[in-house]
Amino acid sequence: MIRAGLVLAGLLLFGAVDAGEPGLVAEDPDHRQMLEVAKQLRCAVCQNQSVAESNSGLAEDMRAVITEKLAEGESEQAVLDYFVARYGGYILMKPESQGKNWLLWWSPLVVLLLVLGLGYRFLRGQRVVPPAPPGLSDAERAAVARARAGLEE
Amino acid sequence: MLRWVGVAIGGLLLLLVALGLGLQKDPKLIPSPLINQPLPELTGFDLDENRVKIGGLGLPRIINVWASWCVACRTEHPFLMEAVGGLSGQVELIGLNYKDKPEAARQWLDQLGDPYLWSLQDPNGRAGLELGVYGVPETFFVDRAGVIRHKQVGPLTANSLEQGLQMITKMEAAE
Amino acid sequence: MLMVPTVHWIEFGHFCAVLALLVAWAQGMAPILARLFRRPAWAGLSITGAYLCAILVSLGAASLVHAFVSDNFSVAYVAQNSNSMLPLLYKVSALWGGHEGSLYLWALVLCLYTALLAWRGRTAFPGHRPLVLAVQGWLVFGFLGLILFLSNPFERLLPVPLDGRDLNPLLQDPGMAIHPPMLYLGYVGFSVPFAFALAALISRWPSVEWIGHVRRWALIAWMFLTTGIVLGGWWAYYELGWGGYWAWDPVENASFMPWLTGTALVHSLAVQENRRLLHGWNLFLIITTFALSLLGTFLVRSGVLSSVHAFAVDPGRGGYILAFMAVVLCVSFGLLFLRGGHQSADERILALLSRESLFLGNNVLFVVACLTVFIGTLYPLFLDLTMEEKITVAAPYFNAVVIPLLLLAVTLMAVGPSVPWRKARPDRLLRKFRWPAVAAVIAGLLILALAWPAPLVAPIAVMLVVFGAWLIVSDLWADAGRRAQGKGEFRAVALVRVVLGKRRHYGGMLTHMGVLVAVIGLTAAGLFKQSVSVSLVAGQSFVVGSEELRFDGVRLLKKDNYEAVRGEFVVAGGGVILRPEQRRYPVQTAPTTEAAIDSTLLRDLYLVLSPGEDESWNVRAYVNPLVQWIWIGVALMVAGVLLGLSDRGTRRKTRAAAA
Repeated sequence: MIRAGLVLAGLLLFGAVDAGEPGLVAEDPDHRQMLEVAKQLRCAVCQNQSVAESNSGLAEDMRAVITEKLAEGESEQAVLDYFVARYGGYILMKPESQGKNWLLWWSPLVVLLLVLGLGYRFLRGQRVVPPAPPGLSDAERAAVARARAGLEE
Repeated sequence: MLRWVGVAIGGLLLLLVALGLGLQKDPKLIPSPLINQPLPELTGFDLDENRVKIGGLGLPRIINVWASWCVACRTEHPFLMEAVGGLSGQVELIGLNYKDKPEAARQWLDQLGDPYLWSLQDPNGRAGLELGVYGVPETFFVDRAGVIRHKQVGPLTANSLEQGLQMITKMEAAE
Repeated sequence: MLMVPTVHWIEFGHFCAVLALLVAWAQGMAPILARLFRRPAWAGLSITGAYLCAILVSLGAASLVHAFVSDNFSVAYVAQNSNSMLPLLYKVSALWGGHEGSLYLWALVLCLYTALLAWRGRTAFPGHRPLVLAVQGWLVFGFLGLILFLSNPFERLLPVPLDGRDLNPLLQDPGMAIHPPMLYLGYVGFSVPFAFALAALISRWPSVEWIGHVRRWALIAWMFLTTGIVLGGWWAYYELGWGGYWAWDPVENASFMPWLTGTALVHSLAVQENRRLLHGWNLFLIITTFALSLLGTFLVRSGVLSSVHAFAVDPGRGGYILAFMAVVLCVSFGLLFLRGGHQSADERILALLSRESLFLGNNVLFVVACLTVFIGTLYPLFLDLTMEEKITVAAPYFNAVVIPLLLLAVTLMAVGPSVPWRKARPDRLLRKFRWPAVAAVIAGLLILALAWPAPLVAPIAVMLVVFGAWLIVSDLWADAGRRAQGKGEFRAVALVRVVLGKRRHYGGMLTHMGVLVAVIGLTAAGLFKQSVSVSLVAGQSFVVGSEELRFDGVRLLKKDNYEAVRGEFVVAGGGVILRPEQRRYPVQTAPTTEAAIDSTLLRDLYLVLSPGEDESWNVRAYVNPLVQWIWIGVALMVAGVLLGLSDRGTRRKTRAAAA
């Protein structure tokens, strides 16, 4: 709903742009694409910040290189690969899912199954039916039969 | 139930050992994938505006990334001045003047002495990116064939210099 | 000689802290010695010790605050974290602005908790008071040892610097002034259940007698931890200027892990209290939660993981905390291993469809989420150790793996309270869930249609919220209706009385409601955030989301302790003016950004300013929808816990049980 509202309002405003409002600056689409790539790269000097977010000098340089390479027509993946070749897998915000990181990506599922298994074992252990009262001996059975016969008479 | 506690204790002890080992690691150190890769060819101008090129065949090289704004480089510099004499003839010491103003760099070298054969200007840090530089000073050890054999992040010391040179000879011998 | 009194104060504080170390040792030893020498009366020493320690450590803290306020730069810690021009509030909060001081805050909070526990124990658990306090005493001893030997905030400097290096500008912020105390009240608060658990294991204390106390203390700790974590996010949101509030940074994860197990704990403690189940599991969770608090402290302070928030790297401290953790873990899990058998459940789970088994599901999810965060946080270290390689595990990973688990947990949260203890009847549940489910599906489809193409998380989250909220509200309404009819009250009056009469239940429901509100905010802000970054000169306008902003240029600003460039942006049509700043603090020269935020219930308009080329300025603008709902939701959660804690009935019941 919000999104729709925003889109609608945005359209109205962009309509205003087309009408030629003076001095309205729009974002450069190339810039946006650059940020998309930069978001996937880690700023190596600033710890846990992407190149898109960081103000460090290194991030600025990297953004410039991304812009340049994209302008030369390189694909986003090629740009990412360029940095991986120089900084290693460390530079990617999202670790590659193949190769040695299989443990990282599969372990949540393994852990979930493991803990679920433990929980199931526990629940099953809980459902052990308490031992039934010992059965009647033959003598008792005969007594019951006699009593029943007596009642029916 | 008790068995699981036992497993948990075992796992935890393992974890503690791993964390203890982790204490000796520097989390900020990024291993370079360029080790044992050929040094990319970087061309440009040195501080005297001569055309120069890093990369390709030649003498074994030490490429030291430095800048006049870099505080740690100032502590490293006297060591370079002292060590360069012992290297001459066998190993070239080349500078990569990273994201610096040429005037500032020249002034620094005039003041403190110039240990480098020459220093490549890298005003916009592009050459640095090619080498995967993220913190100055960094030092690359390159063999005769132009292959990077070792990288030192942080100021060069007698130990790390020795280590780097050994890596050059060791890896060359191995191939 | 004006300096003389100042010097005395700080040395006095130092002396108090050293004395507190000795007292804490005595506090820990008292019951042991009492047993060894067969003098039961000696055990009482640990009570005196608890009070004395709190006083001594508080005096130490007071002397540090005094050093900060009086600009005593002969104290190294003050010189590093303060400056004569720093505003008074931040001079006080600078106490926990660096490693040494924040560790001291840890110890202080621990001592205050211990004293409070000693006080509450007079009537609530007099027989076991010395033992519980002794466990706390050992913890205090361990921490004071770390402080005094490896990170002493009382250390002096010679020669005395003329002025201090100033508090990190990012920490000069009211949010940062209260975030660490709240966080530590949470972290350290889990030491109380831990002390109970160890005391119970050592003395074979039957759990009926302490479970009520532990549940209350665990809730208090959980409440503070929640508040602390969220305050940290709130601070990051408006201080760090990247438009977000949670980055899955290792240090954030360090606080999130005990929160996850703590959340599991407060639920499974309720199972134990109501159904006499899961005794061993709860002990395990209590110990684990506290251990994770310690792990968090270790991760932040050892420098094993690099992080924005991490303090200076020091392997010595890391080694100490690690050794401390090893002792704590070995002792507590060892005790659980040897004595856990005495603390076993008296009852069984009777049916798969029952509240207790749903609680079990909740525990599974939270524990798995915690393990996942744990693996993700430590995996880079693991890879570094085994393969000498480094990778980054950040938001993309955690969002992908943790969010589904948490959504499942929210599902259980929505359903759980409607399911009765022991055994539920499926037909009744289905009847009860019919209408809320229909409403949820409609709401989900509506979102899907309106926000298309939206990630599936959006409709799922909305469905869960509608479903959960419907059940909570309709239950309350029906409850009030029954009371209104029975007693002839107005429904509004009955509503209030019902809530106040069943505070524990409705406190829990309020907390759940808060979670639902926060889920809405988190979903909207996470999925529908919009941003642009543009380069402007004065007089130009730009559009972000549905808003147009005009840049009216910048002004220079000079304050006592910093200079700033302040931009002015006028939001079209509302007259709202946003003033983002770029600040420069003279002592620590790195420029900081001060985001400008215009908040409404629907969205935050968020601006960050940075210098561009020539005359132009770079602006990054975000429209973050419904962010305020997150903070409101958390406020509701805290209110819910407080309401639940105010329940006199439980308090009386636990007292009766103890007696």
